[in-house]
Amino acid sequence: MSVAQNSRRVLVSFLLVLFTLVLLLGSTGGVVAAGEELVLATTTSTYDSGLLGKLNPVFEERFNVKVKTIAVGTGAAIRHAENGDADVIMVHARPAEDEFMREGWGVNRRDLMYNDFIIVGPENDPAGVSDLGKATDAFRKIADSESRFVSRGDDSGTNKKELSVWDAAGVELGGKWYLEIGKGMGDALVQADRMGAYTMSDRGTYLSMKDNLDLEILVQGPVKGGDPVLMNPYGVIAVNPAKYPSVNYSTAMAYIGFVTSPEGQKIIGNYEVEGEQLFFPNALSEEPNFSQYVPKDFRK
Amino acid sequence: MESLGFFFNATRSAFDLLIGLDPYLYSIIGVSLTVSFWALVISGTFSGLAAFIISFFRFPGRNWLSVLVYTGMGLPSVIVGLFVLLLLSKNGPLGGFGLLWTPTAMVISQTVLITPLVTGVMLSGLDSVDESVVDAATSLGANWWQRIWTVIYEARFSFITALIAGFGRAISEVGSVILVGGNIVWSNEVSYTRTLTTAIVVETRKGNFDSALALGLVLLTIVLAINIVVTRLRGSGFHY
Amino acid sequence: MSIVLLKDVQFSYGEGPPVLEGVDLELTRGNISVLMGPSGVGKTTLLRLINLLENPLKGGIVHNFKELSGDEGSDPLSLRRKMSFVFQEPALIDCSVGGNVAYGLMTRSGFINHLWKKTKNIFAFLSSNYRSVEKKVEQALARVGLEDYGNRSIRALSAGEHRRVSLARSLVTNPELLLLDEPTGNLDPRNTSIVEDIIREVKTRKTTVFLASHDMHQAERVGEEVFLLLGGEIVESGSAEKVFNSPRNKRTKDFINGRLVY
Repeated sequence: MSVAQNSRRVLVSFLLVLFTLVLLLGSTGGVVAAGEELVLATTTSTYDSGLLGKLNPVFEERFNVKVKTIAVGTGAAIRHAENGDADVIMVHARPAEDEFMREGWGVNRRDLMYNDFIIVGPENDPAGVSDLGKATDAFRKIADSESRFVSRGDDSGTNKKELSVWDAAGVELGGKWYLEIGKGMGDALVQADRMGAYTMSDRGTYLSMKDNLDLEILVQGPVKGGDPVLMNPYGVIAVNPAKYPSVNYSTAMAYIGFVTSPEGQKIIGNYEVEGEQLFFPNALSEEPNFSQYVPKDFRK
Repeated sequence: MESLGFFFNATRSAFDLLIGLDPYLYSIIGVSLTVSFWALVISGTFSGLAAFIISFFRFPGRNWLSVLVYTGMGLPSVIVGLFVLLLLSKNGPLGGFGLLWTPTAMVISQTVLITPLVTGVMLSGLDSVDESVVDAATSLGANWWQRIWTVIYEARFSFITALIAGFGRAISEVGSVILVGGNIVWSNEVSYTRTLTTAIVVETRKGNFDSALALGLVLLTIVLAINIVVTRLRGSGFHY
Repeated sequence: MSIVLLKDVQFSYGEGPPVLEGVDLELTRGNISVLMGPSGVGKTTLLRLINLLENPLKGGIVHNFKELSGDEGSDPLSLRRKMSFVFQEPALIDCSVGGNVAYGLMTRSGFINHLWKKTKNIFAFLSSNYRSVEKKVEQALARVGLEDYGNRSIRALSAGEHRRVSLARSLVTNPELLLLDEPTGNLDPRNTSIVEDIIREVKTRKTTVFLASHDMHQAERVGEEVFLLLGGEIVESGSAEKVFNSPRNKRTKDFINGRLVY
């Protein structure tokens, strides 16, 4: 009987604890405060770097809106928008953005900010790319020496950029030295580090992880006066309400207006991680800069 | 030795997080528990009914149904997530409800994910009740319902095992909840659809492996605590 | 006079070979009858047929129970509730001793309440006839010498105690007919004599007993009427004394002399 009563006590107290936890913690997590919601589908780099953590609260307070940030790859972010599952996207792959605009899914694209990509690799630089200065030359040399290269292979903005550089370098991909891992930037950097391989990274993620890595910057991007090919511009686009009447278009435009405003741009420009500026605002310009609103080849 | 130190640090930071009453961590645990709990309630009810019908009734397609159940036990969570994502997407059949990127969507995908597992374990429990006990019940004057009730009573441990296995699978699954929940945290660092598992994904993505491991230890502790309680129940015979 | 009458009963399991090939049998009310025969001859099958757990392929089984009239007289459930069957394996339900013993009573009333009751949880108050059930259970346990065992788990009991619980479970409903399948198989002498004493005690309560056994000495000790099942038929019947001392059939002699392998 004593064992029996004991086990009953265990069961009852276990259930009580579970219920209490569900009630207590569930109420904090599940409750949505009053106010509008805006679904922002974005790339992992803006979210994981912490930039949105600075940018969004100011917007939320100003407009009484709650932002649901879905941090995925650029490809997935665009896809969610095409399915009507996002109100606004913040991505970094101009060709894919142009495609998105041309097909009418998005309206009112704005340039937001940029940073750059860098090519990193092991300190000893087995392929000897550190003095080349040009991304295409570096890629050609990596391919010729069949040095290992880790590719994200996840249709993200970084991945799209990397593929376009391979294309420009005239390299046919394939072969055991080229590894597609289908994961995020952090994973790619860690894998390249473990394997002594090269990879292409956005500067922000590399900087935030630098301390844990033995990888060096071998080809600089335009932020540090390097190859302009490695430019990494971010755009912000509202989902076309003509395609999905359910999208929160006015709030999306408020968001775009805020992040491209002097105030939003200042927050972006001031954001630093360990003393380094990660993003360079470029929404404000003296010129009309019409091409930011439409596909790049518009009326060409 | 270096990796041992890594584990030690992770254990310590897990402990620090827990006793530090970090609101972010507790809101994540809350979402994990709440979502898995409701998935378990729905799936448990449905599975109990399904296992009951498959076990006690003979109807055409019954064998196919049980093959389907046992196959579904190994359903990859990403497939389920993708399926629910397309279902709940604005241009999907259930898009009008606006459930994508909500905890409800996560409950739906977890329910779909664990139902075959829960049904399967319940079903095999019911099917493995000794024929002689059923005969004894009949012989002692049990009518159809009483006989079935007796079989269910005999299989009660399988039902508990099924629920625990279902909860374990739900709370430790990552593929579907990240797809349909969106891994959202409000700006005030309170989780909306971020669970322990998806938080681990974020930390891993950022390269914060010690935080990721600490979260993993918290998850393991929860699963372990549940299993200890159940093992104690079973060990005591569970009939008071 | 007869409580059960079997007429040309034939039976086989599914498409398998015939087990019973025309059994004629009459059980006299109030007697202790013993069904004898080597292992695998179909004794258990015969008991299952009488308990309506199986249906005969051919032939008829008539039960003459009191207080059953009209539709009830042909309803298997009503008939079954007038008899009890103690299996060779105890086949106990995985709960307390008291829960097992009360099972038969509760199939006849308040079944679900009872199972809740036996787990002694918050639903206990739902069972109104709980006190009377509890009393009958205590009496039945006393009859098999297991006083104060009611709250124990069956998992904590020995094989001999399992057998006695399963006996108590069948006695508690005061059946008109008690069927026993090898009630002392695998039991030590002490437990065997306890069980045989219970059988004799049951008779004093006007319960008819029909037990299957391959133990001739047991048949001699408790049996008033003996049936011998061989080759799917009853080849010998009568008082124990008559069957053992002057068998009509040659195979009966072989069986009694121990020449027939079983």
